[in-house]
Amino acid sequence: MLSVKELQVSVGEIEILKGISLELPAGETHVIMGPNGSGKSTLAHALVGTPGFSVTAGETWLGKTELLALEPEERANHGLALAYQNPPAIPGVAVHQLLRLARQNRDSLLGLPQLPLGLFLKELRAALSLVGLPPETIERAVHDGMSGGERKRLELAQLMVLKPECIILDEIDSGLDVDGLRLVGEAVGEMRRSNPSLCVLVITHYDRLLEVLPPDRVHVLQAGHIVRSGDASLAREIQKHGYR
Amino acid sequence: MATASYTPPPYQYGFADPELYQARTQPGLTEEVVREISGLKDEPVWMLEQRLRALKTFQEKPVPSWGADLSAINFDDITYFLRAHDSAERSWDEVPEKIKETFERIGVPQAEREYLAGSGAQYDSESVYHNLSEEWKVRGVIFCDLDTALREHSELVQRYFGTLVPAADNTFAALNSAVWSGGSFVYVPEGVHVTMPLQAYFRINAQKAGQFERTLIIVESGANVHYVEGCSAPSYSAGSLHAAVVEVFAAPGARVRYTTVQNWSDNVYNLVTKRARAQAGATVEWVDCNLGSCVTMKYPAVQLVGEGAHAEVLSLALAGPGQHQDAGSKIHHLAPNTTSTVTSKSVSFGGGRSSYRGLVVGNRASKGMRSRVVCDALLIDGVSRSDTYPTIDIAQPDSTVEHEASVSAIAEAQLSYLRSRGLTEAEAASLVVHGFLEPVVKQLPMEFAIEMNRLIELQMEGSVG
Ligand SMILES: Nc1ncnc2c1ncn2[C@@H]1O[C@H](COP(=O)(O)OP(=O)(O)O)[C@@H](O)[C@H]1O
Ligand SMILES: [Mg+2]
Repeated sequence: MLSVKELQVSVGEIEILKGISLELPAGETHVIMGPNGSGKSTLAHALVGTPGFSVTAGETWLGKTELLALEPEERANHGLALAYQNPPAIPGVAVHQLLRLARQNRDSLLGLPQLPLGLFLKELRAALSLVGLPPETIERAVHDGMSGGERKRLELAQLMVLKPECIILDEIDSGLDVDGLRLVGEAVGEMRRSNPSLCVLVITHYDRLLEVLPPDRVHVLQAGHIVRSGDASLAREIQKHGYR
Repeated sequence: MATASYTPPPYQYGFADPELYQARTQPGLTEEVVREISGLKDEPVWMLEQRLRALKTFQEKPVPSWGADLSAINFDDITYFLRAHDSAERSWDEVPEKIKETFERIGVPQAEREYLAGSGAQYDSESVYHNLSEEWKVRGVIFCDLDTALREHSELVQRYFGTLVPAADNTFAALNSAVWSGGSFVYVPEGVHVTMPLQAYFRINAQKAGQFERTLIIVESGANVHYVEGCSAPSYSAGSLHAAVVEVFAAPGARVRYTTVQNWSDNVYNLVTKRARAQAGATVEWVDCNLGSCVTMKYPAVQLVGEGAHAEVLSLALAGPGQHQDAGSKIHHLAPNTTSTVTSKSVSFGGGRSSYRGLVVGNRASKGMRSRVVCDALLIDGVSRSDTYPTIDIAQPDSTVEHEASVSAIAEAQLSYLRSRGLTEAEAASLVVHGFLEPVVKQLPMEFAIEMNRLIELQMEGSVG
């Protein structure tokens, strides 16, 4: 389970998150909605430990692990994974290179034996196929020259290969077509099947994503505070009436 | 913002042999020293005279101040000539044990057996080994050190030596012309395609030593060759000076590729003049990879003097703590429809500094010329530096010249993305750097690409979060 307590986050001198609390029990899907600039991505970055997002107060727990004391890579190896809203392109670095290393580090923290290359590639191809990317993608440079939709699909495939405990999907629906949206549902469903205790934190503006990812709770983030929480009907209400 | 911090990279070739030499000049540069070098080599008079003129030129010229900081070089402190061994052997067995061991640690003889047409090894001032496989000898190819060439092929040497890089060209060309020793001589007769690379390896062993090799490559019409050079030196605290001159002559339709993997220890000043002349339809390629040295100033040049000649420069630089790689290229379009492509990639990390200095010239004769220069710089952290100094000087209205320089972006977003996938900071930096340099590295023959990746890896190692 993911547990965020009174989290305050600043970027530079500016405080963006002003005390956020969130309990995401194992196996549940929670949604964060909120207007542009309300701090949704800031929350995601603070959780994964992106340099420059300084946590000034609060706690974040993944299961029994307090994340804030850990380096970003240690958090990832503990099973936290973010699908970026705007992932950077990494020219010359093939998808399989990145994921092979990432998976090795994750497995070694879990005390698992190293996955033989053949099996790893098989898993990677299966994940790519599930998100609708061709098998050649494993040789492509990470996000380099990819369209917005392809990037979102690749983010999703990466999460699948990393066998996470908790995933954060930051506007995974932006840039995706209807088929893409459906595949998000299938990919998350697949991750859930292999890990029933998976925590899913979805950041979105639109309830159309929630049709494929039915949420257990919906939280509304506004100006750095969670101003409302409720069930799926809250998302529909916001979609209809906006954030007021 | 958090920045990656780096400890100095481990240098694999930093070991040194005891300094036992059969001959060495007194430190410092005088007319006597020049005469002594020439005398030890038993040279023809014209060469001695040329050396003495070059010495005068050197003494008159100031040390350049427009580029990297050279103020710490003490020319009186340097030993200009060191002879470890009498002759350039043709078989490894005859090379003295200690020197052989050194080159074996570097991997020179293995490489020759596996994928080279020939190889040479220079230890301080002179070549200790040179060999060309029989297959190429019978076809008239010559590959030896330049001292040997001066004895055995003196007309060829006299005809070309210093015609492309005269002593007066610049301070370090003058210095080299005065005290040059060793270097390679390559001659490829008309129409001969040397399909495997020729390699020369340069090693500085002595402290405060200068290495002044001089390389002359002559490729006749329609012939082609790929020449590769590597180098290294011990990690002494006192610096050494490497000031080489390379002249390449490509006859009509010839193709020459010259690949350098520069891996001096980070106490070596590397100040090299490289120039090629390409006649009609010839292609000259410089693949210039600068990983080592404390300061490098090197701008491989091509004079495109014949119609349709083509120049290609791939420049790769890695500047770590305490290093300044001031590299680039100079292309002179002096004939119609000549073309050139320059690709420069530099990486700065841990406070390192890299500069691209480029010149593209087109004169009245260069109607229809085309040139494209692309410079990309990668900064791994906020304490490193990268600069671009392009000069374009075209007197030809019918010309196409493109220059693209990517704003040197700090790789911060890429690094933090990779770390959030579970990669350590060092793994992330290494991946980003390899990926960035990949377009250049993949131009190298496979064996050299592997070697290059290994060297980059070593250079980046020891980076800690
Ligand atoms: N790296 C940054 N530097 C400066 N300001 C930032 C940075 N990232 C986010 N912000 C600011 O923080 C606020 C919240 O941004 P963000 O978390 O991206 O919002 P959301 O994802 O909800 O649209 C905005 O005002 C944004 O301008
Ligand atoms: Mg956002």
